[in-house]
This record gives sequence, structure tokens and C-alpha cells, in this order.
Amino acid sequence: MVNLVTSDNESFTVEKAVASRSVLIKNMLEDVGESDQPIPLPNVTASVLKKVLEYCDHHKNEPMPTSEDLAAEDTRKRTTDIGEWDQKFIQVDQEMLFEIILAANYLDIKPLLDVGCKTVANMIKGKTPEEIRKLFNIVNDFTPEEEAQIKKENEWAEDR
Amino acid sequence: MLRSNTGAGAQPDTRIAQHSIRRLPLEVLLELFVVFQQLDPRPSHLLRISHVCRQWRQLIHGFSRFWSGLDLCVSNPEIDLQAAYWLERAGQQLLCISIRHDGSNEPDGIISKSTLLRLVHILRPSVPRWVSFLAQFLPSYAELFFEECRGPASRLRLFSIELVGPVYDHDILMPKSILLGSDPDTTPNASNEVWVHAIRCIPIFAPLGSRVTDLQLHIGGPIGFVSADDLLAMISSCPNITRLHLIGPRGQTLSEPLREESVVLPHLVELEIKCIREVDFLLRHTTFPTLRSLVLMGFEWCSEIVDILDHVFRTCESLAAVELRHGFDEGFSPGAISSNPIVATSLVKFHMDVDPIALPLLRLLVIPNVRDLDIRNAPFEIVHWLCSHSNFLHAASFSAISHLPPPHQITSFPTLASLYISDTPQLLDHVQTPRLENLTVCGVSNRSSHLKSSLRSLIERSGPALLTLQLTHLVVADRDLVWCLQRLPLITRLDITACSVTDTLLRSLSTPISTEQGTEWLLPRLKSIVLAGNSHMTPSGVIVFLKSRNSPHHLETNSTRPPRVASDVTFAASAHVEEGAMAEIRVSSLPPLSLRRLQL
Repeated sequence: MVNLVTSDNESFTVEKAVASRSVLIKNMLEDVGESDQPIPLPNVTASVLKKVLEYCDHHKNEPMPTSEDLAAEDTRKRTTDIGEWDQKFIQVDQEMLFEIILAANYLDIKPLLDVGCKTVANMIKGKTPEEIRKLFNIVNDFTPEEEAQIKKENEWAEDR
Repeated sequence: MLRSNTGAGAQPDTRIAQHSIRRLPLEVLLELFVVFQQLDPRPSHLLRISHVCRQWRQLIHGFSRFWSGLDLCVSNPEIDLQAAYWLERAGQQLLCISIRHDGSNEPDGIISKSTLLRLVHILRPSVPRWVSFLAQFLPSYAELFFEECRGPASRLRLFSIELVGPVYDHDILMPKSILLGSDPDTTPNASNEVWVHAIRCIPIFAPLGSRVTDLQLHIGGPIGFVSADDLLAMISSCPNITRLHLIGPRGQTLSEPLREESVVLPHLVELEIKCIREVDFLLRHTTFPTLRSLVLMGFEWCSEIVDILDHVFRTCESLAAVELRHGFDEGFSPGAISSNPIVATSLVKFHMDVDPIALPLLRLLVIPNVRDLDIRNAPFEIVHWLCSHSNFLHAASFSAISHLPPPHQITSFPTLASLYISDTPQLLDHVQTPRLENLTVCGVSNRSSHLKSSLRSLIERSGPALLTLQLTHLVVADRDLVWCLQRLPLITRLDITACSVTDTLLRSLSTPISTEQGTEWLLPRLKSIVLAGNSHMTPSGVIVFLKSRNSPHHLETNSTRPPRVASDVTFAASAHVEEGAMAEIRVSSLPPLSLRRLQL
């Protein structure tokens, strides 16, 4: 078993196979060898870690992505589908969704990062820039010069 | 699985107050855009995403991979500026170029020729990085573009050109010279193959043609004459081609070629020519010693075609598949052909709509290794000839076979597993098929085709262990069919469509018969049934059958319970079927159920 301590000082005891879905934790475990020392995760809160561990537990028996898989992703062969269980898992509010993405990035859990990014990409798909700003509360901070260039680009981007 | 303990020093997370997407590190945001591009690869859509805020714009505009796809439209008056803008951001990325025509043929609706020239000059330095080039042009624009567009297209894999414009524009079918270079790609494991797809355009490649391996041409254009010389020039500009597909509008006519010399295609393995009437003009001037697959459709049968086929069968030692379909005959007389038998040992697939002019050729053809045979409109003697020399026939289809022999003449098919017979049910009286597993017999939809005792005689003669049986458009007596099914206990799928059978058949399938050993079901392994448009079958008959097979309470003490049956039930539009009956059929059936009324 592995003991993980979150930024809000909550500790989680999980199977090694579950914790090792995180490449960060896996490497730490390999570095320290057999040890009862808790592993601090200063960038992850308890509520987020609980959710991330739920993902890791569900996928614990699946093979870890190989370097070939990652290379295939780089050459754009990655599927854009999200598995049924993952879809249900990621049905969370926007705040938690981005927390999960941040945690997946920090803990180096590529498949979870992928699920998060696909979910956000699906939210963006088909929306205008204004709708996206509204969705994520983003401020339009373009200068007038940039706005002029954007206007031109919009003419090019029209579906003719 | 996991336990958690809240520590004494837990603090609320102050970062929650920050806005969430703004907190994503740049590399994650970039990853998000990469995923977005996979979901929606149109370059214009990622461009729109870059209009959300400065951070997103800087990220997208600074990542060259996002700019590797140029999607240009000839109705954009700033097409040249757009191309330059894109190429600047793409850096040294490999490029996918697409130039679209929006359908306008009016001069006001498309760019001027001077703009097109500027576009070519902007694109030209990037030719060595083109991976794919797809373009739609008016004929005169194509000419101008390709006159100016040159360079070593060493990374090019796909070249697609479509000429647009009015159908009466005969300029469309004038050949267009493509002057892109053929310099090979020197990166490790590079394939160097170029696939070409042309619509209403006859591209003549020089020197890129030496790398073209696949060429597909939809001739299209005005219905009229296409120059066979132009087509042959196109083909000869691609000497290393392995697959060639030519498709014309139905009955496309070729002008007779003036050239004398033959085009040699030493690597051609697949040749498919559809809807070109005088296909012999092309075949007569083409040599393809390594051909493995020949498909000709919608051509005119003439003695020259027969000569060419004779030559192909005799000389193409790798020929494995031949399909000759929808040929038409203008009444030419057969020419004289050699009387030496043709033994095509490599042929494993042979599909042919037989024309009388080809009968002398077929009488010489021996295909000992054929596995898949499909013969239409032939006299029985041809079927008998081809099959009697075939030692490995696995699947056969015979349609509209004429001149059936006297009843005693039987052709043996010792290895046949699947047999499809159409229009000639009585052919069953002349075949012996001991290893048959799948049988389909089709009558003719608008006249009564009587199955009579043909199926019965086949079963008596061959004792086949059928797994599937399909009967369509046949007059068949319930009693005869039940007799046959009693001798076909291994059937798992039964398809009866537009036949004369009644509820009597369904009742036989619904009730086990008492025997000394207990009770026995007719078709005890049946798992799937299609009952479609059988006008003498009633909904109540279908309900009784489905309930008997699929009822959860049905348990027989002295017999093995047959499997449940998935059904596809269609009633004729004229049949009176109450909604209640439809609902009951739905309930009684095992999914997947397809239940509908036939709309005629």
C-alpha cells in the first residue's frame, strides 16, 4: 500500500497498482524503494485526489501507455472517443473538471489528461469565440489592431 | 480500496477563487487545442478558437503544426494573402494544401487570374513540403496554375484534381500537364508512392508520374468523345502504376487512338474500367504482364474484346480475379479465336455476365483453381464446362442459366459450400452438392417461379448439411418445404421472402413432434428467421411461432429446448395487420427484431 498526503493535509492509503497509474508517483516509488514514508502531493487537494484515485482504481488493470502510444498521439492517430465509464466519470462541474486536468498534468496521468482535454474540446466545438468567452468567463483583451486582423481572418474562415 | 484521513492542519484551497481555465499551464492549453484540432480538423475552426483571447491567439499562432493545413477558397479575393499568412506560421511543417471552388462559374465569384498567379508564386517555394494537394479549378485556371507550379514534390503522397464548370465545357476533357518534379523522398522508410484522384481532368504527369502508383480517374465531363490517345498518354506518364481505375459516365465513348505503340505497365496489378464503351481501344494498346485483378463494367462486347480477354487469360500468369459485368452487345459476330484450351491456373475468382459473343472463348477456358464463380446469362453447358474442371470451388452464383439439360444430367460440385441460384430454380435438379452449407434460391419477382420438387431432389441426391437456407419469390408448397426442412436439422438461419408458404409451415415449426425418443422440433438449431412479404402468412401464425420458440415458460421435459429465435418480420402492405398483433409480435420476438410493413 502507498500513503499519499494532499495539499490540505489529508492522507489516502491506496494500492500500489492504483497509485502507479501516476508516472510521477511511480517514479517516486522506484526512487525511494520499499518505504512507509508518506508521499506528499502539494498541488492536489483531497477532493480532487479522491476523484483522480477513483479513475486510477477503475483503470488499474489496463496496460500503461507505451512510448509508441504516445508517439502515435503525436502523429495524430489518437482516437477522439471517450469511453463510456470515462464519460460518466468526467461529468463534473467546470471547476472540478479543470482541477482534474491540472492534477492529471501534475501527477503525469496521460490518459486522464486526455479525457479531460477531450471533454473541454467537446465543450468548445461548434461555439463562437463569444460563446466560448461566456462559457469560461474569459475576457476579450484584444487590442484594436488585433481586432482588425481578426476581422480579416474571420473573412478567410467563413465556410464558403 | 482506499482510505482517507483528514489531517489536523487542513486548509481551504485558496486557488479555487482563481478562474479555472486561466490556471491551465500553457502546455496543457496547447494539448487542449491539439485535441480540439483532432475533433474538428478544419483549419478555419482552429483559427476561430484563436479569436477568444490574446493568450489563446499567441499560443495557436505560435505553434506551427496548427498551420500545416491550408484550406483556400477561390472565391476569397485575398486568397494569396491568406496563403502567405498561413505559410509564414507553418514554418517548415509538411503541408496539406486544399484549394476549393465554391461552385460559382461567374467571373465575379472567383479570383482573377492575376491573383491566381500571385497565389502560385506564394505556394511554389513550399512544393517540397506538400504531402497532399487537393484542388478544384475551372479548366483555364488549372492550366494556368500548373503551368506555373513546378518544383520537387518529394513529400507528396496524394494529388487530387477536379475540374469544375459547365458540363458543356469541352475544355474540361483536354489533358492538363502537371509539371511537379519526381525527386524522391530521402527520409528513412519513406514510401515515395503518390496516389492520384482526378475528376473530369486528364492529368499528364511529367516527371512526377514515375512515383504515381495509384491512379483513379472519373472522366465525367460532357457526354461525347474522349480521346483514347489522351487517356493512354496519361497512363504512360505513370509507368510504375500498380492500380488503375477509370470510370466514365454510362456509355462514355472513346475516339479511336492514333498511336501505334503499346503502353507497358510492368507493375500494374489492378485494373478497373467502368462505363467506357470502347474499352478495347485502351486494352489493345496496354500491356500489363503482372496483372492480378481485372474488372470491366459497362463496356461493349465485340470480337476485339474477346481477343483481348483471350490474350489476357493466356499471358497474365498472376491473374487471380476477373469480373466482367454489364457489358452490352450491338450484335457483333464472334471472331475466330484459337482452338487451344486456355488454362488459367492462377484464377480464383471469376464473375461474368456472359454475352453470346464470348461463348467460344468460355468453351476453351479451364479454371481449375477457381473458388468463387459467378455466372449470369449463360447456357448450362458453360456452367457445366467451367465447373467440371474446377477442383476447389467454394462459392458459386448462377443467374438466368438457359438451355437446361435433360433431368438425368448432373454436374457435381464436391467442394461447394455456398450456392446462389437466381431466375432458374430448376438448376437444382442438375447439381450435386454434398458439402453445401448455404443455399439461396431466388425466383423472379414479377412472375411465378415454381420450386416444384427441385429442392427435394437436391436433398435426396446430395444430403447436404445446410446451415442457412434462403428462398425468395418462389411458389413452394408447405408440405414440400416441411419435408425438406425435416432433412436439414442443422439450419440456424432461415429466410423466406415473397414465397407462397402459409401458416402451415409456421405451425410445423411451432410444435414439437412426438417420437420414440421423446419430442423433436423441426429446425432444432434455428436462431434467426426472416419472414418478409409472404402474402399467405398471417400475423397470428407468426405470433404462434414466435411464442412457441421464445416463450420464457416453455420447458419440455423430454426434449432439448431449441434456442430462441431472432426474427425479421415484414408483412406485405396489402396485408391487414392490427397494431395489437404488431405489438404482440414485438413482445414475442428475441431482439434484434425488425418488424415493419412492406411499402410498395
